[in-house]
Amino acid sequence: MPILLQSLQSARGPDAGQRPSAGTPADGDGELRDGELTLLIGPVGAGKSSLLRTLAGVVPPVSGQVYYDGQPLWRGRRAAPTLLLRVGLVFQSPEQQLFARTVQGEFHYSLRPYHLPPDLIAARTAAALAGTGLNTRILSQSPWYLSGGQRRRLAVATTLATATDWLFLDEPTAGLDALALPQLLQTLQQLRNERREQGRGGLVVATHDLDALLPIADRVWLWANGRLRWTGTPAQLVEQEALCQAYGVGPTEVQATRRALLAAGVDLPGELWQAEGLAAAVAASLQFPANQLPTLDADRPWDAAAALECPASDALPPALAAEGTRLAEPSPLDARARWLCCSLLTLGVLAQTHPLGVLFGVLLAAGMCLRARTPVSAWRRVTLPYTWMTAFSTLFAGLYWQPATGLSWHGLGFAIPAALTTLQALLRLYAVVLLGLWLTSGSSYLALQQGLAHTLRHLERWRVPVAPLALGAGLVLRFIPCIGQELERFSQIARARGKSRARAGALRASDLPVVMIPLLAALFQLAEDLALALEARGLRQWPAAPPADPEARWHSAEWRAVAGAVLALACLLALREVLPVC
Amino acid sequence: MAAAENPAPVLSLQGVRLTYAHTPEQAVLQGVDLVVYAGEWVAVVGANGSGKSTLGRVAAGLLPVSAGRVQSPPPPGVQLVLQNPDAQGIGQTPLEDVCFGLTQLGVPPAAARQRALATLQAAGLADVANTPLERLSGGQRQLLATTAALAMHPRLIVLDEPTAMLDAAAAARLRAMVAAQQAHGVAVVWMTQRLAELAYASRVVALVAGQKVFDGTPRQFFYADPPALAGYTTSHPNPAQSAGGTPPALSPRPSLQPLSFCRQLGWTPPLPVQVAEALHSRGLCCGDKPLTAQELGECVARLRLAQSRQAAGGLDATLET
Repeated sequence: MPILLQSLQSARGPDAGQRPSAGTPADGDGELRDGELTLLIGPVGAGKSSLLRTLAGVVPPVSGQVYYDGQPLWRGRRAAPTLLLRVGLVFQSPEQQLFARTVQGEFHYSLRPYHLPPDLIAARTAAALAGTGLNTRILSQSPWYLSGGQRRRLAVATTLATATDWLFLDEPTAGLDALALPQLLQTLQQLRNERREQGRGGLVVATHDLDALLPIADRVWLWANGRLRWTGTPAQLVEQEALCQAYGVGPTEVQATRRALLAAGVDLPGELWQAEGLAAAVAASLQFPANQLPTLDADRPWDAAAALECPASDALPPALAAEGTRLAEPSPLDARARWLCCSLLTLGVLAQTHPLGVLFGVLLAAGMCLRARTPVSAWRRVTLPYTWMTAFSTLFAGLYWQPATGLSWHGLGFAIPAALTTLQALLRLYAVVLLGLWLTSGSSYLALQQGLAHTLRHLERWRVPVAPLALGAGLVLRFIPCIGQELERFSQIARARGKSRARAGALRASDLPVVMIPLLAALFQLAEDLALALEARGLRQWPAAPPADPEARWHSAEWRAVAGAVLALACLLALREVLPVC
Repeated sequence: MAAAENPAPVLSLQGVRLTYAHTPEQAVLQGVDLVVYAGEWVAVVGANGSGKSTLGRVAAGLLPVSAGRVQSPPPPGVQLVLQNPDAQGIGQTPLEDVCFGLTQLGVPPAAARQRALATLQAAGLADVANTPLERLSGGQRQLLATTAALAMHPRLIVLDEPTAMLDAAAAARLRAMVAAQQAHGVAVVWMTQRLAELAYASRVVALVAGQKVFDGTPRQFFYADPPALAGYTTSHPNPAQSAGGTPPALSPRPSLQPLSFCRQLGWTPPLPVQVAEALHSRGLCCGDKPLTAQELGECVARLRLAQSRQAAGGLDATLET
């Protein structure tokens, strides 16, 4: 079952067009052959992981199509269900994906879509555990009590147990030490050989560790900017030094060694790239010295690194200083002014009691977001779930049932005033949410944090811990986008493991624990990492309030904004008085 | 080396033991001695769980130890760079990220901005100074984390597997930046799993199960001769440190060719060293123990030169007779 790629683009590269074009044809067409281990290489951000997810039916391609045996995998945003059962994907850092109460539970979850008889499940589980060097005694244990390395093996084992034709692995060497590496290489070769014997399926391994994996690969794909750029055998890749350098994946150790030996006058056939062969070639060249001896600058000290001068002093060259002022353009509105405006308007919106007043508040906040050019994605992220919640709550609040008429549809009614009250309360909150969106979208959370600390610094006289409060507020703002990213990652893992037939991006209710447990663990980990990063940056004690920035004077823009906010507050308060209480 | 001019060590660990409260029976670090001088680049290698990361955190002063003495520079003087570039960005743009640390030091914002820009310029990140972090590549973000640490003008920088998530080009850029700082006298402690990176170090320290089992030059690590377990000696007046004793599990196997320390640990050395080993087993020895491809090339060229001289000498001798 070979895989064919037709004009496939896996990701929109963030650096599209920055790398030099290598003049390769490809245009996204490619073939993954049965019985082969294909290495997927490319610069960071090339879309290698996206390609694996596209091949595994988790994320639809940006454009193009994937064919298994001539059958298209993708129909719109849905993957063909029969093909999903024939592919397995091991994500990066797989140890984070475990969620079940027992090791056995992990296997049950991964094997459920295959509807196997119990004895076959047991056999597959035992074989997969043995294949990854784990003992069947751990089956009743909780995965949480295994060591990091065991958790990783277990996660890989759950995928191996599905015995799919195709196996895709994302960066399997990341975080492995030099001792565990040979075991991994052996396992990969064994998996490839099994598929070769069966005559169907193969392995695709995305990696940046070329030196380790090249020796066991059958074929190499160079992937960049979301597209296939070059394909060939490992021996051919070794000769493509310029190409590797152009795409930031080289020179590899093999290439550098070969180049040095060639420069020393050793006659090297193209296919030679392992230590024994290279040494033999050197020995041969010594027995039959070439006519031409290389020039040797013997005592040249080896330069550890290209000198990348970093001025140690604070002084800035004049040209850079001038440029610096241009680069360091301050945010459009001072953070203190933002906080002030936001607080004033929040006060005004919360004071509204009449629907028209609330509506005015929503329109005002929306207008501010529009003017600040808040990105559409941020709008959607906030608005979409909120709209659903509002609609549901409003409908629910309006429903009533009069038991006097007995259990019948006639007793059910809808009270518009009750629904409106709920709608109004939720809309008022929506206006506040939009104001928060405006507050965070225009300037960075760090500026907001410093603005807050600066505004509140007089409170320190009364022993109010202003700086920690402001830092906490800033970090919470920093943390919020991470939650969305991690949620996306674990829903993809759940889709891949559960062979979900739902539209890409949707999540089944039954997958919620599969997502939520690793998500929470990952968020705790993230918080811990962030705390460590803060500590590592020298933040050991509670920070002192940052010194006032003499350059951060308020310009007319800030005064106008605050004046506008005061005016709007006055309008809102007046509106409250004018409109009759509802 | 700068160490000779300044004999006071930047970092000094003596008999450091560390046990976590939930596993009191198992020490993560078991009496580790480590002295690092200004301008030194010490690479720390060890398997997962050998205590490498813990050692880094102890050296950075982030973990209190159970026993032993730790002398490291006070807070801004030591900086720690972690493996995951995603978890280290504190600011929203590179400029803000570098400024964050500086303002925490009490540098006035305007001066901090200038200093941050100069450091970003030197790191080649000036073009993206105001680009949101999520639009940078992983390599750029890791470069930024290191830049932000270096902008604090530390005397010691500890990097915990900084290149683990980077491609070859980004890893080379990062090493070049750290090497430039090392040339200015900054002491570097570099944890790694990539043995090819040891070539950049002035010293290699190997950890096994929380014990220091090797402390010597990269050449002593990759080549068997002189005896790998010999104590590490320096020209410093106070060579208080020595190899942490022979670990029981690592007695050298009897073999015709003495195994290098790297091989004794069961690790595969980088390709140039492998080629040199293969040459040596064929009786071809170039004497100067190459670590990198370039050194291997020079070594082979020297071998060829010597052989042709020998051939020419032989010819001269025949002519004379």
